Amino acid sequence: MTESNPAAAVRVAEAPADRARTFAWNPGLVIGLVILVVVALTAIIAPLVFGAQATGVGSDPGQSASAAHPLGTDTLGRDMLARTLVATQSTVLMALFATALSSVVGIALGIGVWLAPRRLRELGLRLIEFAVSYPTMLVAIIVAAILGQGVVQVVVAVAVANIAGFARLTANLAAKISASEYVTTARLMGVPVHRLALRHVLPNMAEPILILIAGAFSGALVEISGLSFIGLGAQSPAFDWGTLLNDGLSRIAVNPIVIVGPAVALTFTSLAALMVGDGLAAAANPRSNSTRARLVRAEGEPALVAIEGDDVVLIADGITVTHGSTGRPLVSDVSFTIRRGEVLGIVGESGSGKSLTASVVARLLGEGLEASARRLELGGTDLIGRVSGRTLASKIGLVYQDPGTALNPALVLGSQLSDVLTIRLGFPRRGALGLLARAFEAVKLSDPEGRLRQHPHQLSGGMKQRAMIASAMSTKPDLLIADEPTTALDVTVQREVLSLLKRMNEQSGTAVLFISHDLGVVRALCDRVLVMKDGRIVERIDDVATLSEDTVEHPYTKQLLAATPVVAVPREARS
Amino acid sequence: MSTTTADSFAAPGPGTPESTRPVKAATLAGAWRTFLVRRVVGLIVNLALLVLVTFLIVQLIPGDPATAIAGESASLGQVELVRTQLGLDQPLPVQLWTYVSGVVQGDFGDSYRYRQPAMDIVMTAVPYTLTITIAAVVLLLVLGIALGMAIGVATRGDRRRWLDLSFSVVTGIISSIPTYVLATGFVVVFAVLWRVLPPAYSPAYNIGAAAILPIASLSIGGICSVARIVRRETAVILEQDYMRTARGWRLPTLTLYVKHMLPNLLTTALTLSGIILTALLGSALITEAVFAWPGLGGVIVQAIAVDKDYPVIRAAVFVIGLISLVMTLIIDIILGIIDPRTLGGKRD
Amino acid sequence: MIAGVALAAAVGLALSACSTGAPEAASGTTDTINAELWYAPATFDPAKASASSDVTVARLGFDTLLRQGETEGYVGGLATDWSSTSASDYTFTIRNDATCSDGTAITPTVVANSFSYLVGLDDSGAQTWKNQAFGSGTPTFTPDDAAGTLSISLSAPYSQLFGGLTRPGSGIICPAGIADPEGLAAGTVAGAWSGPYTLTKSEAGKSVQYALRDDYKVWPDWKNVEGTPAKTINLTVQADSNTSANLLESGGVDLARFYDANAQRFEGDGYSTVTFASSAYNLVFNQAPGAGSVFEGNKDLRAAVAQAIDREGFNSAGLDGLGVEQNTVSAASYRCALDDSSLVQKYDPAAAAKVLNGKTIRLLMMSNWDPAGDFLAESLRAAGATVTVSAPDPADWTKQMRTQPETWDMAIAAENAESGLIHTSIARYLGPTYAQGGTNVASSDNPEGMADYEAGMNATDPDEQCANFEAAQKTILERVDMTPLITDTHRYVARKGFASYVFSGYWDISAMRIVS
Repeated sequence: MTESNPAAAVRVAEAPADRARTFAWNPGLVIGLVILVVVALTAIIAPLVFGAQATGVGSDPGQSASAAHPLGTDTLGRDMLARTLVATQSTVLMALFATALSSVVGIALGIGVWLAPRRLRELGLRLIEFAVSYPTMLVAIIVAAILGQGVVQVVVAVAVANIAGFARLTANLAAKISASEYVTTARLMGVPVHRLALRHVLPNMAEPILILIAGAFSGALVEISGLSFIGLGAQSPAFDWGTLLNDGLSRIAVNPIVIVGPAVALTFTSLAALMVGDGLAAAANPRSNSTRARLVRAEGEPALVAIEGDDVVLIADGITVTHGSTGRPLVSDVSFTIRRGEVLGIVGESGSGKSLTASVVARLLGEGLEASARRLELGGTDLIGRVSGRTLASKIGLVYQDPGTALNPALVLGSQLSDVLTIRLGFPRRGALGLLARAFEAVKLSDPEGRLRQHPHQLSGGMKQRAMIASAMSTKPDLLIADEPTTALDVTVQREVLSLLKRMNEQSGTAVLFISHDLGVVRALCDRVLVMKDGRIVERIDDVATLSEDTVEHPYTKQLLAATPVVAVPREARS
Repeated sequence: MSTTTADSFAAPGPGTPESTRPVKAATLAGAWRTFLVRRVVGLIVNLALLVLVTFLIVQLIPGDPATAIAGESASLGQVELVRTQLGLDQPLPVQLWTYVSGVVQGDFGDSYRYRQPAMDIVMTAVPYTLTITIAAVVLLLVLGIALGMAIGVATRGDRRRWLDLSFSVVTGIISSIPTYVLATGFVVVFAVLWRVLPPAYSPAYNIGAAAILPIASLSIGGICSVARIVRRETAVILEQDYMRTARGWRLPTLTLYVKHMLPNLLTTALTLSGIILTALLGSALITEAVFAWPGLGGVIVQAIAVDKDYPVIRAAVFVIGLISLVMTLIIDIILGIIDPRTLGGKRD
Repeated sequence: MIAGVALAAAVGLALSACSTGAPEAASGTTDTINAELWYAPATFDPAKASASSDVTVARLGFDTLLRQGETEGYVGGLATDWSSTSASDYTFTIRNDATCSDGTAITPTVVANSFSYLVGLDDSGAQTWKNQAFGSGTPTFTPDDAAGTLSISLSAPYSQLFGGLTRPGSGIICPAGIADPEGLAAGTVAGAWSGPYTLTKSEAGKSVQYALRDDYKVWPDWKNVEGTPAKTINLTVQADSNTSANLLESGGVDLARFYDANAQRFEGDGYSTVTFASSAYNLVFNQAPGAGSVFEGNKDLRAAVAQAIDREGFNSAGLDGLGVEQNTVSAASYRCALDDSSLVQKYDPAAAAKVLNGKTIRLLMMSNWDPAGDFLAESLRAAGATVTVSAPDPADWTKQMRTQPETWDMAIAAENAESGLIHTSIARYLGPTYAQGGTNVASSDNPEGMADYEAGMNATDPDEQCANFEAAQKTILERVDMTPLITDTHRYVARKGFASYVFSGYWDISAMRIVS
């Protein structure tokens, strides 16, 4: 899952623990399904009830709307409402068969291509790409031209035209899923390929394929009616919404009412399928329904009684974070200070509230959360209430967990990293780039000017994190907040980055708030450590040097300590 | 347009993680070179496929193609004439060779009906179709992205639920109306009732004025579809780490959205636009009928449904395929300029 | 660049939708007529013209010896005088002031060469024109340039030669055209034209443009035609009736042809309308011996089917009520057409049901005739019959009707009703079948009618011709080999400032006029 969609994964990880990845019903999905059920019932019942009325010749042809014929009559005097309702059956069946045919063949092709030997797969993928790049409607027209006119031909034509779409999606998904850990594992365990396909790959595609099916059904409706419109559709005595529309459209200026029935039916059925598709997508990927983030001042006695000296950079007193809509507490009454030149570590498992605490300090609280603090001051600036962007930008530097996602993939480094300097700190562009280049040099990035012209994807993870640190330090902040800056990196790169952070801290004297789940990393870097669990600080370790299972009190800390090997941060070789 | 929803899964959107690719040269020259070589090879392979497909159109006709093509009143002699004309009396490899060597010189044979080179007939119509399709694609991307982004930003984090809902309902309905119904509706309103625009193509009108309604009806459904996708994509991008990073720099709103979000949206939108363009070409074929637009739609429908004019069908199918391929290439090049990550992608 | 213009135009739509108005009515300010064709002409060679658009444009470029007039009977085209001594011997005096578009004088020899070219062509279109002009026999042409006359003698008597020589397919092709048949077909031979207009532009499948010849002075002497001919005629391909109506309303076209209710949008308001019979809808009963048709030798059943159909209902179902009831094999506007409704079976569903109940009938019709076909099928079903409908495309429909009698019992036939030659319609229901080299689609055996028909073909006196042809029609109607349904009446509507004319049921495109 993390492989396929980091954004979703992050969202899920950030969500409160009780909100697992469940299927969330939403209004669009419900409305869409309800309309489809109504359509299905109409398709079954209407021909039985209105069959005779829809086909038998009536006595008043070409009528406009009247009480007897609310949607008018066609040129044979047949009631258009009855005809529209009766046509539901043939239209829906045609679209259903076309969708079923194209999805079954398309999925089979997609899986087949993925299972095929490499060369055949390459060829197959190319063929599919080729087919997809061809207009669906034209493929349908060509097939209809080859096969002739008629209901079956139309179904086949539309099905053939949509096969490529299914095949491509299936092949892409199969490629993605087959790269995932569990499939790789299953493969290593010798599970045969076809069983892999059936047991592991197919079920994991269900969601996107269902969404595509909904879309394809909606498309098939429109395409079938389009074929009817240009005269390649169902022929008498069969009739569908497309033929009814086609008959009516040429008289739109004379008797407009007769197109209302088929047009509305077609639009709403297609809309319903669209809503189901969107609804499924939304249900599979629920976004938090939330309010704007807030940070307010809490009343009460300060927990930090003795705050002394000028060298205190950050005072955080009584940080509390609650979930906006449920009011559930996520962080409860967390207080700490950081001195100049000090590295404070916060350690805890995911969901412990450590990152939330950091985000309150950084004034970057996520949507839907409410935070309060009795006191929150950074270098003498009160962070509760209105603070200018300029102040925040110059006082706080931020380094994030995953340098791969924290940098904008579409912009070159120089462009994105210099914005804060030019826009917030008033540097001229050239000056900002020069400053960045020097900062890159300081973090030991080779060819700093060249790097500035590169896109993030051209750098390795470690290099990106160095660039990130260089950028964070370029504003000469009072406080550097590093939120799990090494978690996403390889072990060797981790150590490089840690030593870099240590060096920056020592050279510039910038205070660092270091968040990690890894006590080993934290104890190697930090001067003091806070241990958090379930939103509370359970242990304050002031003397990291002598840290051992005996010097801590809380069982959780002991447990953590027992599980972590000692990490030594080597001093960087000075050049 | 219906496929776009699902295709966004496959698109290399901003959510896709890039694998840790080894560092290449400090510039993108190498990546571009590889990209262009790969794409040119791909284009040639696709062209070959296209030639094969157009060759097969006649071969796949059930029964005896010559009889089917010659039509009802044809005498046996005429059937044999068609057979020789199309080379259907030759062995298959010979037929293919003859066909390919003709195609290489742009010769698809003479139209049965008009007794003129089929390619000439198709090329007369192509500029008309391209005019409205390209204009529609440009409009659709510009307006679709602007609208989707505006709504996405305005409704971020579940703000303005009413706006979100009305946007979904309105765009959903509009994009569900078949294009030709919409087109007919436009004609009734703008040309018949209000009389402010020409109802259809005619030599009596300036072509620009006559193109307005076709372009509008072609693009409006697409604008809604694109806006829906972009709106969803905006929501996803707003939650991306790099947007948090940008907020961490406390950048002003305008910089945040225009500079840091838009390029990523464009990547998605342009990735989609290839699919949109082909879909548009498809619906243009039908919409042209409403406006008597002298484009490829009329040529193809007439050649298929009325004349069974296979040289023209082959030429038209080939040209439309060629347009799709070239457009896809152009879009991918633009995409590569905006977001060089896609240069290494396996999209073709 | 076109894209840029279009884009600008489209953006203009968003900004203000009121800059472009419809062009104002012509009233003397224009010398151009914009009109439409349903399909693009496939050939510009009049002799090979087969589709309706080929025939229509042939009239612009090529003059015939005779022309249809309204009250005046036949009017002189390239001929000033015409006479016959028998149904096999005819003499024409060719006018001495007619020229080709390259200045060549149109002499009797030129005319004779053009006719010889037509007769010599191995082309189904040309065969039709040849048969309409000269009958089934072999014609011999004897030009006398000194006297300015052309004598035509036929190996088989054919009394309809004058009518046949008004048909566009018998148009005179100038020597330059005869010398270059391919260029003639493509419309590229500058000197091929004998008519008032020359082709100046042709976008295959899309549009054609004709320009009036400066040196053309031999307009037929029509009494009722007013206004001036257009210097330029643009014909664009456009088949949708609703679009035609929109264009006509907004001035995008000056004349348009209607076959459905859209014509009703132009009653009054300065629009002028002419009507003419376009096609004759008939129901044909298959009596081919041994073909398995239920109608073979069952006149009661044939009559019952005719009784089961309400022709007015058919009219409104298929033709928006614009057609007129037809009482014989073709339109009432034809010379020698019977117009006596008492010979046609009366609508009597009750009587029909008694005979039809439980019968199974295979109905053959053409694709895209859904409403008309539905109406017939539903009418027969209402009378208790089981009806299976097959609706192949036009080509297959024709083929099955003509040569595959084993596939159908009853067919809806729509026959072009513009030729004015009743004998071609009569011959569809008597005489030899297609398999026997004739045109009898009903495969009926009607010796009495055949005798009347042949007498008509041999008679030189117009009244005698008519008496014989009427007798033949009567036998067909009495035998119920077919039953007439509706004559599809089409309308040409001209907007203010334009006019067009119908002569004895024939809409003549070269008589489109700009009126002030």
